[in-house]
Amino acid sequence: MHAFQHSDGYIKWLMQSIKNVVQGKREVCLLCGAAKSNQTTLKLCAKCVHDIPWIKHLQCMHCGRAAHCPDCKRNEIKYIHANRSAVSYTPVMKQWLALYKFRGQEMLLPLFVDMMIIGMETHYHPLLAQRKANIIVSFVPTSRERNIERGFNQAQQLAEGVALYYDLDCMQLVDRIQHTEKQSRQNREQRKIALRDAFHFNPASTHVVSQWRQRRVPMIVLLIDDVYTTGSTLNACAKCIVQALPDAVVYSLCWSRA
Amino acid sequence: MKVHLYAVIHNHPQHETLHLLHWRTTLDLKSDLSYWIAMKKEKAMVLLQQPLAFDIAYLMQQQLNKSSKAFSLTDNKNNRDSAQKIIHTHVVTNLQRAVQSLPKDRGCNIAFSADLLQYFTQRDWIAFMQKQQHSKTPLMPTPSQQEAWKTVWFTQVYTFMTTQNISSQFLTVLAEFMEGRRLLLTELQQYAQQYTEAAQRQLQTHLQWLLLEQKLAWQPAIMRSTKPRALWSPHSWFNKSDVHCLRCGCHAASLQMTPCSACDLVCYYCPNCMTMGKCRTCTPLFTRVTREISNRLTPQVAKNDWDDMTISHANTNPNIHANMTEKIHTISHSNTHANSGANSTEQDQPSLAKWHLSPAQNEAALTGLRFLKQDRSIFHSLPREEDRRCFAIWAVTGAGKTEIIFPLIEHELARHHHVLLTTPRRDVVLELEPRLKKAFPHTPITVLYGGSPDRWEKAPFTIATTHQMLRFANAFDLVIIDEIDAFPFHNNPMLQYAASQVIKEDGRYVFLTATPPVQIQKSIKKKQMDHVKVPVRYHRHPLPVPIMKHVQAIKKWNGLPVLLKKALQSSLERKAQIFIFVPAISYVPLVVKKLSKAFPQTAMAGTSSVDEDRGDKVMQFRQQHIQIIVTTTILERGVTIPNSDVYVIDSDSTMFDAAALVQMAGRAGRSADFPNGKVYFFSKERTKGQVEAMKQIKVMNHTARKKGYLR
Repeated sequence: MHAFQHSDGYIKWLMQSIKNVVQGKREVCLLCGAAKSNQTTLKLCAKCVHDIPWIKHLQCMHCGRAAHCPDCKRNEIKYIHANRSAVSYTPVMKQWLALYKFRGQEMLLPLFVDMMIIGMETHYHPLLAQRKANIIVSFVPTSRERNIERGFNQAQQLAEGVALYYDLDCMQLVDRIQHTEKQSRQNREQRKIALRDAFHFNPASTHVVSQWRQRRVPMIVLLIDDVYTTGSTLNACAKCIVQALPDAVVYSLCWSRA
Repeated sequence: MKVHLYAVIHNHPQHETLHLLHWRTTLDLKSDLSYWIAMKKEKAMVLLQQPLAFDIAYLMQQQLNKSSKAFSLTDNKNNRDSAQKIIHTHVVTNLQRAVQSLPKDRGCNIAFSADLLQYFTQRDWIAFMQKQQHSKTPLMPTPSQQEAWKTVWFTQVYTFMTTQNISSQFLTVLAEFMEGRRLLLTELQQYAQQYTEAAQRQLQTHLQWLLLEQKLAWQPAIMRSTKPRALWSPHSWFNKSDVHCLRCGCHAASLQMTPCSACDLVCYYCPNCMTMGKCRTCTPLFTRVTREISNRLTPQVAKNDWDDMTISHANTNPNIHANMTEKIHTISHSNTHANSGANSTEQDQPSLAKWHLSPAQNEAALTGLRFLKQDRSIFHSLPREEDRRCFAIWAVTGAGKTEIIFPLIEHELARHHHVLLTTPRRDVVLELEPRLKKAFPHTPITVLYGGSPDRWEKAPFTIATTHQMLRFANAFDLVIIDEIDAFPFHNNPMLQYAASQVIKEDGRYVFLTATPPVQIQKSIKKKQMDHVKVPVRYHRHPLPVPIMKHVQAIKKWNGLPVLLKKALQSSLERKAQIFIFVPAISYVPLVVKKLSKAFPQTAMAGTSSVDEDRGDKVMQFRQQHIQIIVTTTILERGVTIPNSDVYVIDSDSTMFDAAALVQMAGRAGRSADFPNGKVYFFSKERTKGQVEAMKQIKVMNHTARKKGYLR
């Protein structure tokens, strides 16, 4: 329609391109579009960086919570050696995750990966001192239906990002069988029931198992997920892995801890 | 998503001995099998066993259909195996060619094509059946293909056809629903959810059936433009890929590329229109097909399916066959506008009486009606044809624009046309709804905005926010765009693209504005766009002309400037409510502080776009609990206060262009009881914006006086 299109003519486009070349493209905050802050490596403005509730001091050494943790005393999470998270799951963080996970803004992925890496550096540096060949990065799978519906698996994308940064192997060790109701809509008991038998060891990775057995070194599996709420999902995944690989130690790294 | 690609082997329409391959993509293979085998009694089909990403399948289908040639099976009438061989070689050569023509930017392309060809060289991928004329079970697969999955397929087809899962009622409902819409599968699923549970389960089957009957069409939501690009366009020199989002029109620069687990390839997705559902390269967009398009698309295969198609509006429109003399008569008047056309339209007068319009409104409505009545085909040969289907109503602030369009809407509705009224904001939609329902009590009205209850309703008259236009295509005969110069419509290519998509081929636009953007003003000046000016408010008093006062910039203030203080005192004595506009958010608290020091007894508030209780404050201002409100340009439109004065501080700021100043000045003197509000521009310099705004207002007053509209 002509009446509308006068505004984006070639001259305007040309001027914009010249401006870009001369000034250099300004980096902007991924979330709010304001100018990027120089104080941080994250692609965020000063205000958004300020909103991030980093976990710095741990109260629970098992699940990596920044607050007192009654859950871990129940001793239900047996298969995960330890969990660490980068941030606390505050309402603001919930909004950020919703933008990426449910609205599907995949351009936010680098931001989340960067945050995961910061979490890794602060909490898991002894882990990184290990030989790289001994560590394998894996992730919590989603069901096929949800994968098709959403177009991506957030945990997989995060795991691939982290693995790429540290030059580690990333591989899907666990498969999801049932199509369970969304976790975020369930309470603790429902989650437990839904997760029973939801996972099994991925047959495609059995050759990895045999390789490991030959090398006879204790292997470290780093499981990655977006949110650690009760830990039951991660625990169920870890159970599958430990059953298939009895000498593996499973650590987990989540983007946030609820 | 992934879909299946297959070909139906038709007989050639002219030569009985020859056969043709017609390639199709499918959402639900069951539908296709029953359609071709049970309904159309086709002899055979070739099925590509491996599902493909939708856009790849779509492109291959187009390429294959383009290059498909007739071939003969006559020599091998009785030998099924050699017939299969012929088809095999025919298909493989075609497919090889099609694979080569695929776009190279889908990431896994080379590996993918090698994979595919591997499939073709193996023999087991073709499911080839020949109808056995004397057998009772024509659907048995040939002996060489009795692998597990195929047998399963055909038995499923068999039960499927006997149970008759296709409900013709749901088909018609779906086809009717899709009329004028363009939706993603997820949106269709949401629609089906509110229908019935069975419908939800059977949605894909029915959609596929409609696709087969060619009542629906589907396209990848993000695809390469098929138009060859002009050599002189700089875009074509630098941007190699010409991918764009079909729904919102945005181009490759703003699209994001990510690996997609729905199709196992690398997909583009469109971040611009994501609020309405995610468009990927491999997601289909469904549209309703009109008769003309389908004839162009399909050569000879499925023409017979067209008997039950709806007839497009062009044929039912009584105006289209008006005789030529009348056309010329109206066009000659429409370009010279109001005064000269008055005689020819006298017969319209009685129909307008019921709207109780002021003389200026009446005249605007008449001009609008004349524009609607002229036949559009007369413009086809004229330059800038697109602008000529637009009509701008340039009405001053407070002229009663909404009342002017009532007769236009009535005119279109009487001809069974579909009308869309879009406004930029949701609260305006909600405000308009009761007024329009009162004006058109016998017409069903759909109201659309984010989260509105009648999201999937259909009515001849639709009121919507601008973003809702993305869900429609080729749907409306008249599109009225309110406040065309306002956010978010102005300078938003996505919404402008959407506006160009929702209109029918012979539809028209009506723009409503108090301050037309430059490009529309230009078109008006060159007489390329029809327009009417409404120079007077509904209460027939002149617009308040701004008074310019020389005052320092806010930054240099020590306390309130004397001139400003005096003016404020006289306004407060009149008991007027005061708008104070400042150019930046950061000035709002500063000005409020200085004002409250000078006028401690007066209730005042400051608000801006970052203020969370803005709604509350505006509400209190409307209820006269607050007397002074300090704000930025966000309140320049929409808030109507009967007795108000307007103060623009730092009016020489670059933030305030002529349009913004005219809008702000338009806040004063809105009601008939207090028509003489005051408008002040406080600035250090005299700028083009201010001068132009004052000129616009004065010219409008002058025109109104000349035409005798003023009281």
